Amino acid sequence: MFIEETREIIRNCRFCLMCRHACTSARFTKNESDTPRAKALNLWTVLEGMRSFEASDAEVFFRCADCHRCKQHCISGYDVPAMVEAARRDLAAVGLIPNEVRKLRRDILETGNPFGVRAPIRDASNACETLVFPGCELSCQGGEVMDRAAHLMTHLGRKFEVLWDGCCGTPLRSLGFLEDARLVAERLASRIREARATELVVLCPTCLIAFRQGWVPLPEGVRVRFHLEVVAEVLAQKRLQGSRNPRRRVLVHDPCSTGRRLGEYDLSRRVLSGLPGVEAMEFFLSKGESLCCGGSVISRRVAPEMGRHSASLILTEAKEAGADGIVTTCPSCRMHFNQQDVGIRAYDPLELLLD
Amino acid sequence: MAAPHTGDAQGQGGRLAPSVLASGGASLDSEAKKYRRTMLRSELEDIVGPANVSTRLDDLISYSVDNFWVPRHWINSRLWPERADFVVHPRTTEEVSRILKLANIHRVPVTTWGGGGGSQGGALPIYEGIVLDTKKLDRVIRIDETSYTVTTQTGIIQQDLEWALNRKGFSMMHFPASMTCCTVGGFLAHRGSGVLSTKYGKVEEMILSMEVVLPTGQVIRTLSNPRHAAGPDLNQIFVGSEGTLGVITEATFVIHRLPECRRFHSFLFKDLRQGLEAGARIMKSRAIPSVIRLYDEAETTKIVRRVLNMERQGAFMVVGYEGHERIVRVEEEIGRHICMQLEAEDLGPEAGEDWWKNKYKFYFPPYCLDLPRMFGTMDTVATFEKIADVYYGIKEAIESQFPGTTFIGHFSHWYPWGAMLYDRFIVEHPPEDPEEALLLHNRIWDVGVRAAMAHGGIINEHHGIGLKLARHMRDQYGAAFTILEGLKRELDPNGIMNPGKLGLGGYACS
Repeated sequence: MFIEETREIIRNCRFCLMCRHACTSARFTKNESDTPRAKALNLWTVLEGMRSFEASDAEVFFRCADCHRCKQHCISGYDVPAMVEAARRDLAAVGLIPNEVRKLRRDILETGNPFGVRAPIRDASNACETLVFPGCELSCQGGEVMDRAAHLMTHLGRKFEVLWDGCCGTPLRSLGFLEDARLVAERLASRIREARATELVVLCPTCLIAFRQGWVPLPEGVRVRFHLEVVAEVLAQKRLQGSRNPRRRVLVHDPCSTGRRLGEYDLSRRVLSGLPGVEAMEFFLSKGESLCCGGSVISRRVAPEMGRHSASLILTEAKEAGADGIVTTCPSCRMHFNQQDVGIRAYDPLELLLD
Repeated sequence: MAAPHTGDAQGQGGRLAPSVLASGGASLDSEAKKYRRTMLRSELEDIVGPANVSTRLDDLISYSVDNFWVPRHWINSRLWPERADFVVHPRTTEEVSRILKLANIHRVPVTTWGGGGGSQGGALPIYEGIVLDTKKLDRVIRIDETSYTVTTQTGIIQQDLEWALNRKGFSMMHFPASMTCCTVGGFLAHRGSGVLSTKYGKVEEMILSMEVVLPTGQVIRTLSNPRHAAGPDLNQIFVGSEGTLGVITEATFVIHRLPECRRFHSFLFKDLRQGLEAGARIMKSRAIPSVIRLYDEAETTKIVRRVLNMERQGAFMVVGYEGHERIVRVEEEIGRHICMQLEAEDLGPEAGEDWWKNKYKFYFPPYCLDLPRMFGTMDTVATFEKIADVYYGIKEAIESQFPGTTFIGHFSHWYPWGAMLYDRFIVEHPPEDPEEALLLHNRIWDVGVRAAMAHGGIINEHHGIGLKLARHMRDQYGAAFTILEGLKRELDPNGIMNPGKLGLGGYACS
């Protein structure tokens, strides 16, 4: 079993209650089984042959928001998300997969994105200096951000192309379908190779992780950059002026991917501090402690109620703080917040930069 | 605790303990039993909705192990602790009331579960029946910024309540090690304490009033504050009752403004007795610190060295002060003067601040005590006159009767008249056989508890009694225990509430 590889995590976490408050799914369900402790405890009983997996285990493990708050809170850094991923692999191997997970997998494999949208493949194989990779969220529904990204690249005089389709494989990997993940990642890698770019600018932090971790095998010499790194750099070099925004008070949301997984908390704050008229405020729980919005492409499909609930906590705080908007560096968080339609808009920093 | 069961492939090992569902006075055939179980499930679903009643195996397992060493040891040995028949998640006081009324009709045990962080087995459903999880009762009802009080439902996790208060510049000043996992109801039920209790008190001093669902389902409220002379303070009947006298569903507490300053200092005494004398003098000076934490020589060496990276011999003490800057300065001066009079070495603020920063680190694996070792926290409170004798009495009794067993302790909650000893025993290599291990575990506890009582200590100060110490309640209370038994009989005539805990013996009692 794959969970055998995480035995040490299971052994240490099975009786430890210290991160209960951090767990996004346990905070939503209020059910003991969703806590990292109980997940480890139940896995221990499977690992030790005391029982087999059941369908209810699948429900719990696939509901995990993959927010990494448990790992962040753990003084010893036990990698609970890795334990959950291993459990999902085992559950998938014995066919205990919730229906929504099954459909999500099919959508990614058939359409290249988790939304099941058959986007026309647009050729990005022209040789270029910079290849811009929006990721599935912005490719399918991120027109405004992509307009601004293109505007930025033009302004900087980059010879660029946008790679509109392709999945980095992260949702499949998180769900335990490693072979599928490798397949789609290789497909993406081959399209990137065709473009022969020397720079890959990535707009989604989850995809960025996939590139930086080597899950998408890139040709040597390709420099992978998060789009905000480019923005921060040109702002610092005064090659770009902040926009003439009307005065705006925005709350800075630290996404699970950019924050807890990449450890990047400073970038968005640095960019916002360079924009005249924008006042950046902090959530009560920020940086490593920030709440998960429940808006990952997995959570939105597999645990939509949890997603709505998690987003509402953040949006309510933003409203109470009198903010004009939320700034987030994750396209999934942005989309999820905006889908709640509660009168507070979420922005990618690019949207404020070139308003 | 009922004997554990050897696991089978589906975790459905035969049940040995008598379930009210199964026994009902006589042996029922399996169809009748199944029928009763299904009927009870239907009625529970009618009260809280099907989504809030669970019979799923993973849920039943999750609620069968708390922080008590015994079920942990069993699971580690591939044995099943007893499991409930149902887990229910009420969302309102009314639902709690209806569940208890139903449980009375069916004569089914109800075990209330908050965070499951208790170390005494208080939340374990040893007689099966219903586990009532309170965590959906998690609303902060009102923060009264005029009176400095908060009213909350009791299923809220303490960390969430603290965050809600912090947002408005307040704090409950209740920082137990279980801060991030315990519920408000859980620490009320166990007379809980936090690391700053020396200044702000234990939970029984923080509580103003509460709403309780009695075992019969009747909902009552205590008076709006306890500083009255209209008879006994009813809050104190339910604080520490460990779910045996009802379910606390709402509570109003005193809160505090966040302090202007919070500082810590540390001292090293040549031995424990000097440290104890210093702590007593500080408390009697009434320049009350937020915390005094005094480690014995063994713990100073073994734990403080490992976690705080300090290579020192002696008895290490952390002293903290907080509040208004000007007052704190005076208190610090008094405290330091007392320590210096007793020839302490002033280690400066750094080690104290480091302790505050790492105060919960001791409870995370691998820093905490964990299997395969056997361990227990005795947690004894006594007056200053007796506290040193209690410490040395327990230490001598355990170390002499159980060679190879380590005894360590620190003193972490102080009063103007005495202190609490957080004493622990550790057996590095307990017997592998679960029954033998349990017998050894019980023998060590018996020796320790009796030594504590013989020297004037009370077991215990803030962990509660649960299953672990239930058998000692009668000895500890003497004739006064009849008062607790009488309360139990009167309030819970069918003995449904958390049977077997606190020495209030479930079926034997009813």
